[in-house]
Order: sequence, then C-alpha cells, then structure tokens
Amino acid sequence: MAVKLGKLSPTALRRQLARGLDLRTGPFRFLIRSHSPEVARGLATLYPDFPLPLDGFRDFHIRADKVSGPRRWYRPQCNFWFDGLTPFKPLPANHAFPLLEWGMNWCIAGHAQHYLMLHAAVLERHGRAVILPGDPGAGKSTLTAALTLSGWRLLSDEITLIDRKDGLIVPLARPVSLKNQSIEIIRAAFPQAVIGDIALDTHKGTVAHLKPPTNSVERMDEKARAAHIVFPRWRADTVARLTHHSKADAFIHAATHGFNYSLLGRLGYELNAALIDTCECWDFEYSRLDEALAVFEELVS
Amino acid sequence: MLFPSPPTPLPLAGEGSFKRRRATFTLTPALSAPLRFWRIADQAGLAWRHWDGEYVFHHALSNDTHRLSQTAGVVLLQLLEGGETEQGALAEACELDSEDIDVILSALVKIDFVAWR
Repeated sequence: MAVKLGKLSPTALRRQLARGLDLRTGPFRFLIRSHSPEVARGLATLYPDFPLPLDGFRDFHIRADKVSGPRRWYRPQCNFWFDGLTPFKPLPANHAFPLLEWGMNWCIAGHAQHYLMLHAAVLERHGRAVILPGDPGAGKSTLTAALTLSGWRLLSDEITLIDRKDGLIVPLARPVSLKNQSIEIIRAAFPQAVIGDIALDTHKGTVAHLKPPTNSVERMDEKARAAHIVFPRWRADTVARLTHHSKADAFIHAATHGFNYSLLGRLGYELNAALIDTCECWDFEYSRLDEALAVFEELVS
Repeated sequence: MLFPSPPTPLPLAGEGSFKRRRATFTLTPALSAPLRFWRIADQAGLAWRHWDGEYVFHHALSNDTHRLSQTAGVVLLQLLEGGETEQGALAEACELDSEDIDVILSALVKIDFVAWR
C-alpha cells in the first residue's frame, strides 16, 4: 500500500524531494526532484492525499529548482527540467511551484497520446460528468473551484482525458489553478478552501492553487461517463441560465481546443463524435456562484 | 469550417458568345453545358455525424474536419450512397436548383471532398 504524501514530515518530504519523490496523479507517475522550499511547501499543502508509490515505472522524470550561476543569488530564478532538458524560460525563484504545476501539465499534454486530451475542466456528480471547456477569462476555473468545494468530484481542472478504449473520462485530480480575482472570490465564498501560496506577476497574472478534495483524489482510478458539455461565461448582473449550444459547434470547439485531436486522426474524430453523441451541450451565463451551483445541481439531479 | 462561398458559376461552354453571333439560334443550357459526373474524391474516406441540421465531416486523407450546412451534407450523402452522379440528376435528387448545386459543388471541390469528370 502506497504511503500518502501528507504522512511525510516536512523534513522527510524535503529529503525525499532532494532524492526524487515518486508521485501518482491519476494514470501518471512523476518522479519529482527539487531543493526549492516553495515546491516542498506547495506539495505539502496541496498534495497531502496523493499516494507515493514505492516502486515501478515512472512516466515523467522532472525537476523544479533554482538555476545555477549568478542568478542563484542575484534576483534568483528557477527552472523546470524534463529528462534533463529545460523546455521553458526561467522564472523568479518564488514561482517554482506554479512552474512545477505548468510543467506537469505540459508533460501530460505533450506526451499522453494514448488518450484524447481536451482543454477543459471536468467534474462529476451523481455519476454524471460535466465537461467545462472555456476560453481564458470565461470563469471556468472559478466555477470549477466552486463546484469542487460544493461536493462535486473533481476529475480535472485543465486536461480532460478520454480513454480511447471505452470513451470514458479518466480522472486526473490535481490542484485547481485560480487566477487574479477568482482567488479572493473563492476565499470569500468558501472560507474552508485550502489555497497554496500566491504567486504574483506571473505571465498569467496572480496565480494560486486550490487543494483538490480528498474524496476526488481517493477516487482517481474511477472513470466517469460524460453527460453534459457546458460552455461557461461569466457576465456581470446576469441571472444564471443554461441555453442549448449547437452540437456541431461544440464538436468544432472541442477539436480546436483539443491537445491532440489532429494527431489522433480518425480516432480523434470518432472519440470526439462519440462524446458529443452522448452529451447535451449548453451555454451557461452566470454572475453569482450560488445561482450557478443551483443550476448545476439541477442539471445532474 | 466551410461556409458557402459567393456563387462561382460553372462554365457553360459557348453559350454567351454563340447567342450574340446568331440571335436566331439559341442553345438551351441543358444542351450546351457539358455533362459533369460527380463523385466523392478518391481516398477521401469521409466519416460524418449529423446533429440538429448540421453536419461534421472528417476527411481521412487530409485529416481535416469540416462543419457543413444541411444542404452540403445532403449532397455528400447522396454521392456517398448513390456513387457517381450527373450534376443535373444530383441537383434533382437533392431538390436543389442549378445555381445552388453549383455553389455547393464548387466549395466541396476546393476542400477535396468531391471530384468530377
């Protein structure tokens, strides 16, 4: 039985990170190396429920650390290593944890071609999964965080994984990325929310991550069937409402925002089409989270 | 995505100039236009879905996906089911007038969905 990350003391976690921490998130295993206190703190806060497998194959060998040379001391910087390569430009050292999160997403999105991967959040309630594609600024992450904190099972915040064998959604419960005003909105609406360090002035603005619920992490091997695709849009002073969205348009949107739709060729088309066949597609406008939650509850009840 | 392009009439050989020179003898378009036989382009390997009056087609050879109108989808399905078809007969089978079928076929040729001889 794998130990949970939260069982490690801060010292043991730092020591393990220096040697290589074996972490499983959904179907993927990462071997993470880091000497950064920000990374250790972020993992301790946001990943306590995740299992640490004892042996076996690791999908991704990654590292998030301070860079060497003068920038270790003068305006310190950090970088992300994947198999010894650095795919990104360095960032300020205190952005090490968000960099690790983005790097993990990059690893999955760029390599997990055995799934159809859509750029969308996905949550489940009463056995029915709801996919939330959304353009930046549409309020997708805020809504995802609110649903997650209201009893919905988080399957993924960024990458919806579709199993090519059965078309079901494979969970990838990871911390929810909150940006700018949504951090304070979620803090105010859900005081119990566990939110990690705030990183200021990243290329996405102010960023913080929300801890996924324990139940979502414990059920990360339990696939779900999609029932709805909802395109959320936050609009001031709007009453929360769902309206039908064209299935053909939903197909094109999902394909356009798919990480590997084109790469999978006909298989990508068939998987996407099967998904649209089984889902109701909706546009959703909202301004108040409580109203939004009520509409979603009704959607799956 | 494919949207109907502005009408691009297919050439009706000789009709205009011939009429001007000999006003007493006018060929009707049906007689003057060469017969065109349309088919699904070779190796297109089309797959399709139909939802709420819209079609989404996948072209296996190019790996392109196109969202098509109800009318364009009906023309393609007619060719998929009926095989090579003369343009007039295709228009009749799809209940389209000659101008509409011209526009649709011109657009479908551009994306290598159909070919003619």
